[in-house]
Amino acid sequence: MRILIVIVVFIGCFLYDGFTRLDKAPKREIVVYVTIMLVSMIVPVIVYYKRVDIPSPTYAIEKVIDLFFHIKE
Amino acid sequence: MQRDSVTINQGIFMMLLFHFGSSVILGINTVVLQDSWIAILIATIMALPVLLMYGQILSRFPGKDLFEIAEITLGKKGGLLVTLAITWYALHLASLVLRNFSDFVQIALLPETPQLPIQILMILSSVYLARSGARAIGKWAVSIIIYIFIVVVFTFAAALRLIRLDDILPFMQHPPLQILRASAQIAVFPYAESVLFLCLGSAFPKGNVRRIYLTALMLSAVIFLLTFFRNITLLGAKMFEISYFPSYVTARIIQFGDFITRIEGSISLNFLMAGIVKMSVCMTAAAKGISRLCNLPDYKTLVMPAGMFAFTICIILFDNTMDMFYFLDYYTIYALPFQVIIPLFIFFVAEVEARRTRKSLQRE
Amino acid sequence: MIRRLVAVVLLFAALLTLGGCWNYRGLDQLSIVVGIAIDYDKESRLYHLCYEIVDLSGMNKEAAIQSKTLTSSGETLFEAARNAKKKEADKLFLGSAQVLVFSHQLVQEMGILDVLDWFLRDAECRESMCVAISQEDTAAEILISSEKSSGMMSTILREIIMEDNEITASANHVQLFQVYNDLNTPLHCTAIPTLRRVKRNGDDITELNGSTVIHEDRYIGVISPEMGKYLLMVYNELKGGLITVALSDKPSDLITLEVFESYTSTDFTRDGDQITFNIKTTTFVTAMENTADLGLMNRSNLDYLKDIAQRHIEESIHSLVYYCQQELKTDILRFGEMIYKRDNKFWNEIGDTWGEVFPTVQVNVSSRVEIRNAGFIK
Repeated sequence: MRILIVIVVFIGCFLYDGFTRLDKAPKREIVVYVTIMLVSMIVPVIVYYKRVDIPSPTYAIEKVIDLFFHIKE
Repeated sequence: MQRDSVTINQGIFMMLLFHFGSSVILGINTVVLQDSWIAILIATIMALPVLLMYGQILSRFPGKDLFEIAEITLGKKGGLLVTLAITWYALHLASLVLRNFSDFVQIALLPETPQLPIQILMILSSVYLARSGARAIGKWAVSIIIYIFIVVVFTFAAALRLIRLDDILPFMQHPPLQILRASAQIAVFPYAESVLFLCLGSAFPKGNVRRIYLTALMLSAVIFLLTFFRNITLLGAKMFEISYFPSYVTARIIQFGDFITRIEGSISLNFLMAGIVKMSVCMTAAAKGISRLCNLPDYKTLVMPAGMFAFTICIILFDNTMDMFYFLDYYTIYALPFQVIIPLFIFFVAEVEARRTRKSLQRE
Repeated sequence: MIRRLVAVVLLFAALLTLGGCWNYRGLDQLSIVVGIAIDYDKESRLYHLCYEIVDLSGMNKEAAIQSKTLTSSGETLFEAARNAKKKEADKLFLGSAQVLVFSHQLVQEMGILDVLDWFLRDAECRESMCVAISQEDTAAEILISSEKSSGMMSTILREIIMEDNEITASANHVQLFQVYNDLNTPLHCTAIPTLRRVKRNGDDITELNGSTVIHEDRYIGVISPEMGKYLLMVYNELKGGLITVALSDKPSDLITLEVFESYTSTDFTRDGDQITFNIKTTTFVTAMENTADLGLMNRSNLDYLKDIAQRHIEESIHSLVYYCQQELKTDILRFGEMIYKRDNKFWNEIGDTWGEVFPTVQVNVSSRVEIRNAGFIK
């Protein structure tokens, strides 16, 4: 269900942008747009479908800061 | 590129709502509890020079945004690094705000609704607003600021009957070092996050940027103090300490007369409307960064991918709400390079260049 | 044309995500709880909850809304609340609960902080619920309304408790968040209104009967309705009530004064190890019942009445202080809280031993009474 919502919303965005801006845009813009949108779409689908935890940047940041500063007791 | 400018008032209210956005939801509740008002005042003083620095950077280069200024002052490679860093920061901040809001909605308003639809609705609204340009965000800010002021004043007035003034005491119970740490936390989140407005640089009216930053800072300090005072005197120190969302708890308790009760809906509306402004600004900054990185003429097409990418990060960002609050302490240090160090470099180089140019002009 | 089509598709995509309709429950699928009573059975280690639920069946426009009660049990409160679904078709909705009643056995055996945790953590329960303690064997019998009375017991109870300090002034009212706060300050002390059942015209009704004092989550004692008035005065929460003074030993020589406004200011002084609290009260009254037939047009009579009223208030507050110091041995008067807030350094020195210091504290009471008028007749 959630995967369906994600895919439908992304397709809707593709279509909307496709007809309003992308038809007049240079090729490079379309490539960048499609790449980022595909990455953004695939990650949630993988997370929801495979129920896999993709490592979050938060914990990496916390570990790096812990190396240099003593924040939590 | 089309000139997409905001008026002074639009700029002030946009920035005010940006500050208001997520920090009022999480409450200005720091470890220093009833002494937080001192922390707020010290944070305002701490943030003052930083925000003035932002204003000065924009004044030196009117009509340009941060990425262009970085390229001029730090060279092509420096500019590239700055663009990468600030773009990442804008995306991360947008996803943090989105996560704050969807967590709040899930805990307080709609416990059985999954966060996904809430996040999608919010991100789509913010993307639409950002796509319509800085002027649209400014107009939105002006149109809702009245409602926000009314709600803040109304809840404050309604709380007066229930507050115990004593709860603001004991004064300075916490050691000064702890209060300073709390002030640093408030200065970083939310005041210095307005570094992202530098990315909207071309939208601001020339010559008035410092005034916009200062006025927004003062106004938001006043609102934070009012909100904090209302919360702590109504809830008491211990209840304030354990609440994740003290403003919301306060709104649940307040009643005006006999039948105006349950006004927490209006406070949630406040949060959401201000949050959309914050996310739109972040998204505009990120889209501008991506368009500069890829050498594209217009940023507006890229607002949608930036928004969706922020949405993706938001999904994987935290495992649970407790981690979100845990991260706040780290955020104080993590945000410093983006909020202080990078602008400081740019500021120094710009000022030194300006002095050198003036001296060489004088010699001639 | 295509743009419009795409816009419609996108709208539908967004419609799919309409969060508010995700888990819609109509009013007919909810059991609206207006009052909750909690009992604890030590032997079976089960919580027994009694809910007063709005009874919407057979409702007509003339009659007041009726209610019915439902009980459920569980090892924890949340389990008990969910177990109610086994007996009731609709899921309980706790967002309208107005009153929370504990049995005094629960208070004596395990304290109330653990119980408060669930009510504060749950998003549905409101923190503004009025809290009370039942003096009867169970808390559930408090919520049972008599056949002759109409309306919902919990609503009636809430009005009785919340408006008491303006009318009868026999007990202070506390809301859920205030109880949590009071029990977690350095004083760990709170006074919660107490309810009991009495017979009236052959019927059992619920009556407010003073307050129960809780210290460090343990039951300590009660404050009677008569003393409750002066407790409200010390808290500066007295907004109404009556003060009856006796002019002589004769039982008919009484004058009843109605309180309109009352202000109390308290501060403290230190003299070495001796702490002295000074309580100053100012009360504006009207003389509303004059069975002693005192000529109230006479100025010296008025001064005499004022004097007696002032002494009465001072003596009553002194006896309340004595009761708290010597019998309850608990600082329910918020003296310690005052030191904690106004002189935090001193509190850090004596706070740990406040239990021993409090009975040695001196109290000076000075009371001022102003008589505004004597009603309609001279």
